[in-house]
Amino acid sequence: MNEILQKLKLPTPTVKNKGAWFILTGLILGVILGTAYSVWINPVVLNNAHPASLKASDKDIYRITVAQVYRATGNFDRAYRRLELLNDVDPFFTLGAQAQRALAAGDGDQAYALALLASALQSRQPTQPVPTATFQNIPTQTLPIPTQTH
Amino acid sequence: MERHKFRFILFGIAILVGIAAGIFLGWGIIPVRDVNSEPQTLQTDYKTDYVLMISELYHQDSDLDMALSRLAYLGKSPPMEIMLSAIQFADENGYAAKDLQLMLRLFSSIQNP
Repeated sequence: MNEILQKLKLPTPTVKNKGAWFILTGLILGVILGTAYSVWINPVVLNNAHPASLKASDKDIYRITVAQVYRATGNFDRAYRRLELLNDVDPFFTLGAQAQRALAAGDGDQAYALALLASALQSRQPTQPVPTATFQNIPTQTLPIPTQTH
Repeated sequence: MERHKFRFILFGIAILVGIAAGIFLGWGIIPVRDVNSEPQTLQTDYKTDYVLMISELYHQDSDLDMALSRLAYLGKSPPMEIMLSAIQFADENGYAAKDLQLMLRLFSSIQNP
């Protein structure tokens, strides 16, 4: 009995009341790990992407292919429909700008195809907006002439 | 000691639950952003149309190397596989006979270079 009393009088070690913070810490850590895995390490891969969602560089390749096919076949309607898939805000300007870049890179052949399609797009669309100052950089008819060789 | 062990187990369970929640977030809840897609993830009909474009160009220039290079845009799958898939889709979806012919011509050239 005395022993028990003695034991009761002994200062009991204070138990720190840590609560459930460690559970919350574990949960947060887990959510971070799980999200990192599912978003960056092993993300969902889409298999039904639309051409408009392609990266800019891939859109450029798509656009040049459309332009080259147009130059080869002359099928404007088909080229127009394909170009529409890219959802460019101003397809005429986009084609012109890409043609300029191709020309600057020394690829006159691509520049010609792009400019040809841009030209067709402009001439066959009666509802084309009135050119403004932003249209001044659009290559003109002098662009299609390849002046540089590879 | 027992208490520490119990807390440690709870901590591990919390991490596991958190990981499960994180994966659910990443795969199910967070909307998949449909931007900056790779060409190999294009919908089959767009892929088929791109193959048709390559076939049209091949019909014009008969440059097989260039055609293969263009097909590589659609992913790392073997060109034959890409062509077969496109031809099958075109056939099933009523593509014009002329377009099918163009694709078959390129397919044949890849098969027997």
